[in-house]
Amino acid sequence: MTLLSVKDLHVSVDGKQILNGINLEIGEGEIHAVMGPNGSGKSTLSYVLSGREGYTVTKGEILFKGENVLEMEPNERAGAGIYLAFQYPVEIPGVSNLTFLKTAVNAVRNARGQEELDAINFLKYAREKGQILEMKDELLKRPVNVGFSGGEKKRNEIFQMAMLEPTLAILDETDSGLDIDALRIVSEGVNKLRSTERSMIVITHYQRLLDHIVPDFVHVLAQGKFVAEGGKELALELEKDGYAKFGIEDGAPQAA
Amino acid sequence: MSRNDKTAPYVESFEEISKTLPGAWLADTRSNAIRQFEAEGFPTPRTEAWKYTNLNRLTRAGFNIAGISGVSGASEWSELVIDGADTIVIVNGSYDASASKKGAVPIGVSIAPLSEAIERKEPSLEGRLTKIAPTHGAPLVALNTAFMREGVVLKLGDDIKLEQPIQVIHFVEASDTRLSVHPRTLLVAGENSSATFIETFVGSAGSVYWTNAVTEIEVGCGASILHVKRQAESLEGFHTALTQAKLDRNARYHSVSLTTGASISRNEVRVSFNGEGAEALMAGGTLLRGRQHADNTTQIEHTVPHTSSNQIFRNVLDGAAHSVFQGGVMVRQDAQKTDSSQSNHNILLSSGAQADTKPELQIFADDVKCAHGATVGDLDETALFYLQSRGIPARRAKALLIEAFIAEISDALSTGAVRDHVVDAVSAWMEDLG
Ligand SMILES: Nc1ncnc2c1ncn2[C@@H]1O[C@H](COP(=O)(O)OP(=O)(O)OP(=O)(O)O)[C@@H](O)[C@H]1O
Ligand SMILES: [Mg+2]
Repeated sequence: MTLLSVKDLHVSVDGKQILNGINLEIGEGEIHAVMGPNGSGKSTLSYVLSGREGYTVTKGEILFKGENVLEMEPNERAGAGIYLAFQYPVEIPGVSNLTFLKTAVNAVRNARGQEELDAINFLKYAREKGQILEMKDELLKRPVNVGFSGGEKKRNEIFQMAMLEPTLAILDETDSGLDIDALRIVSEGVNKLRSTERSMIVITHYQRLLDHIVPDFVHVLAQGKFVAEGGKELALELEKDGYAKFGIEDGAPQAA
Repeated sequence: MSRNDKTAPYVESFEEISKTLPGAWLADTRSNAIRQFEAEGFPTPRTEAWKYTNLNRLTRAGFNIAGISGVSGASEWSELVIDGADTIVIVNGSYDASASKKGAVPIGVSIAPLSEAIERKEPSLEGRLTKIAPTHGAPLVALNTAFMREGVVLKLGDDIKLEQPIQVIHFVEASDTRLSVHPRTLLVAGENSSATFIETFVGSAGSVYWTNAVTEIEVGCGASILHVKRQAESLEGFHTALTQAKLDRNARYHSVSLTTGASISRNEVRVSFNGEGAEALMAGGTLLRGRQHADNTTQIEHTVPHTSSNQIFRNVLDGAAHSVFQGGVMVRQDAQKTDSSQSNHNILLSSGAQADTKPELQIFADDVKCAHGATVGDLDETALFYLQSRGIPARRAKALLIEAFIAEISDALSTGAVRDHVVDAVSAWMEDLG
C-alpha cells in the first residue's frame, strides 16, 4: 500500500523556486535514498513534508496515508507518523531533553489515541529506547542539544525517532558529522528501527550509510527535480562516477 | 491638569486624616513628606528616571486614601499563599489578624504589623523607618511616608536562621471608591541571620486601585536575605513600589520578582553597599499582555571595595504590552574590585508589543568588572518548528520556550515551595496564551 504520495510538487521559499516538480511514491516498509549535490533541494523537501513555515507549495500535492498533509500543522503530521531527523538539530537552551521528550511522546500518544505515559513509565520507555542508540543517561538531563557534540546531536535525533515511532522517517544527512563508531551505532540503531510498517527517506551524500541501511530505491535530486532513479546500485554508481553523467554541472557533493 | 491639581487632593486628604495615622512621634516626618510630595509632584517622563513610564492614567484616575477597614470575607488571595509560609494578610491597607496565620515565632524574631510597631515605637524602627529609603527626589516614597499606616516590621536577631518563609499578602478588595494604599515594610536582619521574605500584591479581579508600596531592608554583617516579590495586582490596578536595601559587610541580598499584574506598574529596587564582601542579586521576570505597562528600574550603589551585584531581568510581552528596564549601576571611586553584571532579555510575542531597555553605568573606579547586555526579539522560529515537528502543539511549544526563557529567574531560587510558586505562576500565565 502507498504510504506517501508526492505529485508534481513545486515549492518556493522567500519567492525563490526550489523544488520543480517532485514525484515520489513510497510504499509501506520501503527505504528510499535521496542523493544530490549541495543546494539541490533535499532539505527543502524534508521541511515541506514535515510542515515548516515559509515553504510555499505553489503546485502539486502531498498525500500521507491518503490524507492531504498540506492542511496539517507540523505537530499533526508528527502525530500522523511523519518524523524528520534534522540535518542541523536545533539547540533549545533551558528545556531539558527529558521534559522535551516526555512532552513530545505524550503529545504524539495523545494524537494516536494512546494513553499518556506517567513519569515512571516514561523513564522506563526512554531507557529502553536509549539502549538502542547507546545514549548516555546524562544527555537526557541536559538541555535539548545544548553542548552536544555533532555526533551526539545526530544520535539524539535517532533516539527521538525511536521514542516517537513514526511510520515515515526522513533522515536528513544523519550520517554527516559522525565518526566511524557513531556511524555504526546510528546505522545499527536505524536498522533496528526498520520494520514492515516503517518507511524511510534517507537523505545522504555517501554510500557508507547505505551500506548499513540498504535502500529499495535511490533518487537523484538536482535543481529541485529527480534526474535519475533506480535501485541500490545507483548509489554505488554515483559514488564511483559522481554526478557528472547526470548532466549536473556544479559537481560532486562536498564533504558536509 | 497642572501639577497642583494632581497633588492637591492628596494634600487635602492628608490634612483631613493625618491625625488618624499611627504614631504621633512621626507627625513631623509625615508633614514634611507631604510637603515634599507637593513640591516635587508626581514623577513625569521629563525626569530621566521615569523616561519610559507615564503616570498620567494614574494621576487622572483619582484615588482616595484607604482608611481603617473592617475584616473582609474575601479570599481571592488565598491561592497565592506559599506552602509552609507564615502569612500576614493586609486587606485594603489594614491588618487582617483573622486571615493571617503565624506559627510559633522563634526567640529572637519579631514580626509585627507596622501600626502596632509604630504605636509601641519599637526600638528597631529607630534610625531605620523612613531613614533607609529617603524621600528626597522620590515623591512617591514621600507620599507613602505621609500616609503609611500598615505593613510589616520583621526583625531577625543575630544568628537567627529562620526556616519557614514569611509572606506578607497585600490584598485590595473591590470597593465603590477607588482606593490607594501605602504599605510600608521594614526588614531588619541581624548579623549572620537568614530568612526568606515574600511580598505578594494582589487585588480583586477588575478592580481599580493604586498600591504605592515602600520596603526598607537592612541586611547586617554576614546575613542573608531572600526577598521574593510577586506582583499579581488586578489588571486594572496601578502599582508603584520602591525597595531599598542596605547591605553591611559580607551580607547577601537576593531579590526575585515576578510581575504579571497591574495596568501600569513600576518596581524600583535600590541597593547600597556599606561593607566589603557584600553581594546582591536582582532577578525579575515580567509577563505582560493587553495594554499592560511594567517598569523595572534598579539603582545599585557600589561605594566600598569588593562587592558584587548581578541583575537578571527577563520580559515576555504579548498584545500591545510595554516593558521598561533601567539598570542603574554606580561604582564610586573607592569601590575597587567591584563585580557587577546585568542582563535584560525581552521576547515579543506580538508585533504590537514594545520593550525599552537602558543600562545606566556610571563607573568612577578603575579596577572593576562591569558587564551588561540586552536583547529584544521574537521566539526562536527554528526552535518552535523543531518542537512542533516532534508532535508538540504550537501553544505548548511556545509555553516551553517561554518557560525556559524565564527559568533563569526561578533558577535564582533553590528548590522548594517558593520556587514552585514562581514556576507555577509562570505556567498559569501561559494558560491564557493565544
Ligand atoms: N530562506 C531561503 N531563501 C532563499 N533561498 C533558500 C532559502 N532556504 C533555502 N534556500 C535555497 O534553496 C536551495 C536548496 O536548499 P536545501 O537546503 O534544500 O539544499 P540541500 O539539497 O539540502 O543542500 P545540502 O546538501 O547542502 O544540505 C539552496 O540553493 C538554498 O540556498
Ligand atoms: Mg540539506
